Parts: sequence; structure tokens; C-alpha cells
Amino acid sequence: MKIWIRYLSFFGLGIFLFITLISMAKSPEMIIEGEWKELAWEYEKADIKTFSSKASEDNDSSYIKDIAGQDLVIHKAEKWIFCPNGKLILKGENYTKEITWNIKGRGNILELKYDNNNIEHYSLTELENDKLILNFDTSAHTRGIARLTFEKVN
Amino acid sequence: MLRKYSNSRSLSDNIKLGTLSAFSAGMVNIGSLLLFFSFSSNVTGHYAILAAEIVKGNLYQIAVVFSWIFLFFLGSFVSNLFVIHLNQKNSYIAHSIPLILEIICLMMVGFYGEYFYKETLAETEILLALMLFAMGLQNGLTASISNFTVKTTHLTGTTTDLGILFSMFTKKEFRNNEALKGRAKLLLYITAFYLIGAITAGFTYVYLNFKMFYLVSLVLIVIIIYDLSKLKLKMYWHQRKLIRLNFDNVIRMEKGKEESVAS
Repeated sequence: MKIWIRYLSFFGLGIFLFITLISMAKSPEMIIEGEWKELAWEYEKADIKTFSSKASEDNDSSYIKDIAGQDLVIHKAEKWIFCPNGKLILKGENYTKEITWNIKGRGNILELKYDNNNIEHYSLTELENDKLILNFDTSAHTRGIARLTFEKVN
Repeated sequence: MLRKYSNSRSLSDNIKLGTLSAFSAGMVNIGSLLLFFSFSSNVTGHYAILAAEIVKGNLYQIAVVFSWIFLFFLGSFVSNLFVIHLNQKNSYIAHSIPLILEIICLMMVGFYGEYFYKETLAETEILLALMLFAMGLQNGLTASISNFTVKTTHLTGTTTDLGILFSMFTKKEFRNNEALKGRAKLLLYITAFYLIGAITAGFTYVYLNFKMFYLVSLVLIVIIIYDLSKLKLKMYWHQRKLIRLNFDNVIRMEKGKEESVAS
């Protein structure tokens, strides 16, 4: 086989593989669009002793939400509505806020921008059609990585 | 920096090329991390991510990371293609073309980012792909023309080599070896300037944002112009020498004529 045919085949195979994969997959931007409901706030590196002394197992999630999310706007939200125009509506009890969302990296970083130019970043640990898990680093007094789990409502 | 090829290069040539290109690679890598949340030069990490995404079965991420690795490979391939096919005709041009392509890629990232970027995922991935291709071009060029001595876009190999060299220097025979000392000096320069570039990007990206890529392009232009100026200077001296030789010959001929007339 001529050498240029071998090279063309090699590069053609690479391009073919890329096109096949990308056409089979759905962009994270499309998967995330819709309404998501918060299920739980957890720690991946939890200090179990601290939690067991301060909160019972049943309300661990709300305790973690109170401690870890106290400086975050999303703290008050229970429903997240990702609109296709880059708007995110955070809905809680007697609370609604509209912010901007983007996905960056290789589709693994969720960026939230607020009106006051505050920016928060979350790792999109899991993004499936009906399940969304976000991770974020917390401050020192609540050491560890916090995890937010959502289920798709609409 | 760019005129000489392989074994004809001096340590000084490699240090100059290594420091400037490592500085630009450090800036690009941290710039891409801060702006796009992904590295653009250390492909080792991308291989690990690719493996992790394959295990998770995330087809979209597999495709994206695969294309990034492929583009880095393509950059290196294209770079060496120019070097080996054009080297016989004009080594300076052969070595400059990959750098010019790299500048075009980085300028495109800077220009698009500054005026058109809407922060969509597709844009982020395409701009990162351009940067990976640019880094592939740079690493391919520096490695190719320096006989695999200068690699500037990632520091895994550099740190490994430095570790080996430093352990070798515990023996006097290696400590007195000029070639090994020169190699250690080169690797230390590359490491230091990569870090300086990365720190510069970290401090300036808030003010410069996408304009950072113009600064990187400027560093690369310096590499090209440095050699061009040296070439011009060399040509100027050569021409002056020729003119002086011709002038001497004319005087000699005139003298010869006068002597023959007198005799």
C-alpha cells in the first residue's frame, strides 16, 4: 500500500471515530436543560463525628445545606430550572432568583454568574437524563467536598 | 534559535529557544485553565481523563478529549513535516513556519475570545482544540530541531530528567561532565521559565483576559525576529566583506595597470 494511502487512512479513521462518537452523544448543555429538584446535600469527606453530635442521620442533608451553603445563593433554592438561553431560575419557598449558567471545560464545569458579578463553579460529577450531581469545595470550618444531588422533574 | 538543526545547535541556542517557548507554553496552559477550565498543553492528564471517561461511558467527553489529544498529535506531525521537508531548502523558513502557524492559532483564540466568545461549550472546546494544536506545533518544532533535547509544553519528562541528573551529580565523574551540566542547566531554565510564564498568566489574566494570547504571540514573534535579525546582520557583514574585497581587487588592478604603463 502506498504510504500516503496509509496516512490518509490513519487520519480518516481518527476523524471518523470523532464524528461517530460526537453524533452518538448528547451535549451536556442539552441534557442539563429543564427542571431539576434538589434531593440531597452530602459531604464526600464528611467529618462523621461532627455530624453525629450535631444532627441526626435523617436531617444530615439539611444540616449540611445550612452549614456548607450559607454563603451561596443556591442555598435557598430547591428547584433549578435551566433555560436554553443561558438563564437559570432558582426557586425556593417564597424565593425566586434568575442567574446565568454556562458549561465549560470538556463539559465538566458548571459556571453560575450572578448580577453582582459573583461567579461560582461546580463540578458536574454526574449528568444523566434524570440525575444530576454537582460538587463544590467548601470552606475550612466545614471541611471537605460537598455534593448536591438532583432529579429531573421536567 | 531557529536557524540551526539537530547536533549543530549549541547549548546557548537550546537555552534561548527553551526559555522563550517554555514561558509561552506556561502562559497558554494556565490561561486555558483559568479561562476554559482545562489544560491545553499537558497531554498526559488528558490521557488519564480519556481513560476515566471511557470507564464512565461518557461518549461526549470521550469524543472531545480524544479530539484534543489527536490535535496535539497533529500539531506535532505538521511541525515536523515542515522541518524535514523544507530543511534542505531553507532551514530558517522550515523552522519558522510552525511558529507562524502557532501564532495564527493563538491570535485566533485571542481575537475570537475578545470579540465573539459567548461562553458556549462548543466554543470553549473549539478554542481549546486550537490551543492544543498550537502546543503540539510548538513541542513538535522544539523537539525536532533540538534532536529531542528541548520539550517545553509539559514538565513531566523535564522533571524526571532533572531528578536523574541530580542523582548522577552525587558522583564526581558526572559532576565534572560538561555535557551533563549543560543538560541540567537547560532543563532548569525550561522549568523556571515555564513556571514564570504560568505565574505571569495567573496574575495578569484578570486584566488581560483574552489579550493574554497576544502577549504569548509577541514572545513567539521575538523568537522569529531574533534569528531574522541575526541573519540580516550576517548578510550585512557578508556584503560589506564582499564590497571590501571587490574594492581591494579594483585598487590592486588599478595599481597593476599603473605599473605596467610605467614599465
